[in-house]
Amino acid sequence: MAVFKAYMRIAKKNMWMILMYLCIFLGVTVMFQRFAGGDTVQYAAQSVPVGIIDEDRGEAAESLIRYIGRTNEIVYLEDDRETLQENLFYRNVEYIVRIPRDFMEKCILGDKKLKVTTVPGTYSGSYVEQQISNFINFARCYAAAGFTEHELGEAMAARETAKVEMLDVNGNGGSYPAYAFYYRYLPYLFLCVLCYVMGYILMGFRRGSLPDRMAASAVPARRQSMEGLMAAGVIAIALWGFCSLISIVFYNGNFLDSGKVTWYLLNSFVMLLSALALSYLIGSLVKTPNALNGIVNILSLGMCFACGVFVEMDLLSSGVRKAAQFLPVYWYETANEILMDYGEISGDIRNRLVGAIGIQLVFAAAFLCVTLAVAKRSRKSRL
Amino acid sequence: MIRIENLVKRYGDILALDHFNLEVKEGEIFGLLGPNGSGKTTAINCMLALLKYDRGSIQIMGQDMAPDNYEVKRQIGIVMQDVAVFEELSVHDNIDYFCSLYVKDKNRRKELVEEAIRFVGLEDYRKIYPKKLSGGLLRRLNIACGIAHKPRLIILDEPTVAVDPQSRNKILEGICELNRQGSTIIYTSHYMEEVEQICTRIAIMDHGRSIAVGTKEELKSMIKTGETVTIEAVILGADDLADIRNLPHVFDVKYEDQRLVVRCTGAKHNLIHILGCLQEKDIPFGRVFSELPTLNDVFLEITGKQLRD
Repeated sequence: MAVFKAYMRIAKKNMWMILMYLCIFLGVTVMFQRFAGGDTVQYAAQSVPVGIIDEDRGEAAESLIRYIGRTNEIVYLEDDRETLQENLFYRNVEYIVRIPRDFMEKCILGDKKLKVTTVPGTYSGSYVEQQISNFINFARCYAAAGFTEHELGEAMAARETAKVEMLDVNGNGGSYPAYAFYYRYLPYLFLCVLCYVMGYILMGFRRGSLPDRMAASAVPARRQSMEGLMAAGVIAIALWGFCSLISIVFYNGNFLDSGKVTWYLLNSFVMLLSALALSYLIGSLVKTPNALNGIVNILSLGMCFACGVFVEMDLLSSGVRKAAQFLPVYWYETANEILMDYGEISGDIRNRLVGAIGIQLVFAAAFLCVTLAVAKRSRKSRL
Repeated sequence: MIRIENLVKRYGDILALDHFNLEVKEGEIFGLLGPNGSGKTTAINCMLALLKYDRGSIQIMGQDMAPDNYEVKRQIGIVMQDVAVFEELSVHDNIDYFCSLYVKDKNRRKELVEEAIRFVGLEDYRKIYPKKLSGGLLRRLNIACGIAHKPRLIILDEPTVAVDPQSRNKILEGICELNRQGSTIIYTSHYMEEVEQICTRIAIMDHGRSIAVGTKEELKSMIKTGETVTIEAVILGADDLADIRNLPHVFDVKYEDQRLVVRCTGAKHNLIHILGCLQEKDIPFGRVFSELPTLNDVFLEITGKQLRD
């Protein structure tokens, strides 16, 4: 197992680089998770600081203030011109409502309009105005029905606001679970780590007259290849195992109870195979560390940006999406999005998921075939 | 140990080996001497089954050599012309790796690796990576990687290229020691002094052919030159040169840049006769050198060109 051990020794020498990429990956995952909102998506009405000058101090006025205060921030102001101007100028309030004495009689039973002051050109004015208008309309209805000022206040307080309920399609209340983001960025880690590690190992084995030295040794060429492949497999599986373990430890119950653990693991494993085959191909072609560095950066970042890892697929243009279909990461992300979007994997969804995973396998096989052809050609050219 | 018959290897239109023949006996240090491009490395690569050849046969240890003849390969040690080590592995790990391609037993390998490290004098560099070694130390590491498994046959392809004199001596001493320990050595070089110093038999190669084979004494006896006398003389006329040419055993006289070069057949008193002639004619002269023939002279006389042309 000389070749196997040599692969492992060279891989061990690149351990710091592997750890660096793991840190970058985890950092990027945490960052994007935070920006993307993490576990829950909440909708709340806009809150506007509203200044109130209450000259009435009656139950109807109180009811109005309570109604506006449900969604807005209430600031009680003194009826002083300078104070009001100052508060508007510094945006302490964006809208001032003056509730006149005898509010019930004048504004609800009568036709008098409320006197308001607002910052010109702001949409918040019309937003609060609409709320006040709603209140007056409801209050007038109640008053017409014979409600007293006290009863009107109680009725308005009892009115419920509209309740929005998200349709739970993906089994996670409509929002994306944190582990989905983790798995979304995984191709970047796989591509970087495997391409660098395999690149350095294979470059080492192709340096100078080492291929001839190896060909002249007592270990058959087939065995050398097998040991090399085995070592590459062990490195890749160790990386995948470690990443899967992290996802289980970090996201624990959420992930394990999702019922999609197997799918996530299978999808990431097939992506790993594609990345491994691609890394073998790159390692067979590059000759210098600088070339490796350039190719790995272009490939990993390019694929990740074009295939919906760093930028959501919905935001990509149709042209980019069409081109990305010729890359395995696109199909990984397609499968990942299916897992993110649906709580139950069955029927047509299951077929789509299996199809996306299958295409990744085809990519892995294609990369492997090209690698074998390159290896055969280089062996022939030596003879 | 090795028998090569009528080996022909072409690279397109270029004939790299032209009916090359060679026989190496067990226990020899066999030198392959020839200028760059004479076909030494091609011959070695054919012997190791690294290259396909167009015609001929190669037998090593009584068996036909083929890419899958691992029984023979197991008994061969190779030291390539270019240093073939892993930059990512330390000195110890490199030797251990190449040894493990031949020796599976871990304990035995440990002994062999230590022995190889001591043999090439790299005891203080065990944990050093090849990038930090000097050219000479790197060559020593290259040799250690090739010989650690104690092969019966060791092929060294120009192992002293770009090596300082100290390391070169150490390497040459080491090769003689390996031979004393029982290994048959094939040593290729274009440094004739090295080949003369260590090889028991030598084949001189040119244009893919073996043009002369034998011990260094046998090779030197093949040529007419027995002694070359060089004299720094200020003035020599055509008559003087004719008189010198007429001296017994002298067959070639050249006078260039105030240096008189006289080539004689192997005989006693050649120098005395030449100096006597100059004294008789009252010709003043400076420094005088007398040299026995070298392998370069052999090459020169056979091919009409210098070995290092």
